[in-house]
Amino acid sequence: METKHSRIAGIGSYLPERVVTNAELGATLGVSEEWIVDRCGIRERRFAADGEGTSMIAAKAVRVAAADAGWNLADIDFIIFATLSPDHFFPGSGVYLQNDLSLAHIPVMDVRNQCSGFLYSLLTAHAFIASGLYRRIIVVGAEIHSHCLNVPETNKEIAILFGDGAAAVALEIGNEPTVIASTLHVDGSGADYLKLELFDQKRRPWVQIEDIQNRRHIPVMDGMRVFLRAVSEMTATALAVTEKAGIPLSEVDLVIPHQANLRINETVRRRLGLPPEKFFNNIQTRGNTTAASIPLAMAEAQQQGLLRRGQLVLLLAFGSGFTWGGILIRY
Amino acid sequence: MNSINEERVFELVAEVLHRTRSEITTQSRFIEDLEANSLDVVELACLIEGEFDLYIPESEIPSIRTVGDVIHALRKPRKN
Repeated sequence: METKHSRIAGIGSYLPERVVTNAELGATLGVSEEWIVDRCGIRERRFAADGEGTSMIAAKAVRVAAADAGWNLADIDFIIFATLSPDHFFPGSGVYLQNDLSLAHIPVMDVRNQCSGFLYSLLTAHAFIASGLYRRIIVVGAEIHSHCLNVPETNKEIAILFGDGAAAVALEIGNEPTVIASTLHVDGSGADYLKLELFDQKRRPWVQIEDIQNRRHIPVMDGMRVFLRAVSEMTATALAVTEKAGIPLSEVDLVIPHQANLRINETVRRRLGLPPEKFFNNIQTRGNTTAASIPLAMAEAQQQGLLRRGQLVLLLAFGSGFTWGGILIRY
Repeated sequence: MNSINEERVFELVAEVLHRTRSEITTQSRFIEDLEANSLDVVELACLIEGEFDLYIPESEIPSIRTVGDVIHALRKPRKN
């Protein structure tokens, strides 16, 4: 089978209108604006409106990405949808997205890899195009965290981190290689350090009244362990992917990391010895949007003229699972 | 014993915690004296590990209370 190249033809994003500042959130949580900035670098984030769902905001980002690529929605022949905040337990959010977009009966696949979901999805889409199975694929990440954070019941260390948003890329057959090198990983022994259990399927019935009293509907995080492992794996992954590509890290034009915590990203950047202008961050105004964070950062880096065609760009992610990875692309 | 540049440790502590170098001694307690939080200590540990190409096990980080504890952890012989 002849291997084809994939190309990122378009990027699109959607952010809910409501801006939630640290002043507003801090007042709810009983902490100062400075306390929040000091812990994570976030100054504001977006929260979805009541009635706004994950697949709905994903649909808005998909429309923008398709238009940016010069496609009609009918040109899409596959969608991969990454989220950790799906509309329902089943069916997956992809079917709601397909229905929202009024698409033909094209396949839509749901990916559940948390903060690394976009990288897993992008690499899968690339492989589908390279194999010749599909020609025009949308990869979309979308999250609505605010509805499950249940401020102020949530631990304030977690409640300050997350924001809502959606972003998508449009991948099509290209003439030159886009994906230069990649690596994806999981260490399931870290699963309990950042999770939202909600229910326990081993029990009968699997959802019980006490689950709410026991706060199983609220995320839990061991911040120290997540921080340490994120810095360690993102640093090692940046070095491993560039080594695999045979390209020195110094030749990478721009690193676009998952936006979990500005302090994690700054620590990774410093350990890699990279200047601030080569490490893009937008968590300051977006918060952690999990599977949406990397395409959202790509969209905003492009709008700011920092992400340009022809650049070598390293996408890095680490998150709940633990899952992590890196993809080096020629944009 | 590993060769650790204590002065560099002091500089990193001062930088991360927004303190002047003269405020930092081996006896300085992170939380009580330098007004650090647990995340500050974790960030410091990550940066110091990178700076000295050494590894402080996760299990030891919660017991780090002073700047001297960091230097002690860095000087501990480790198996590769």
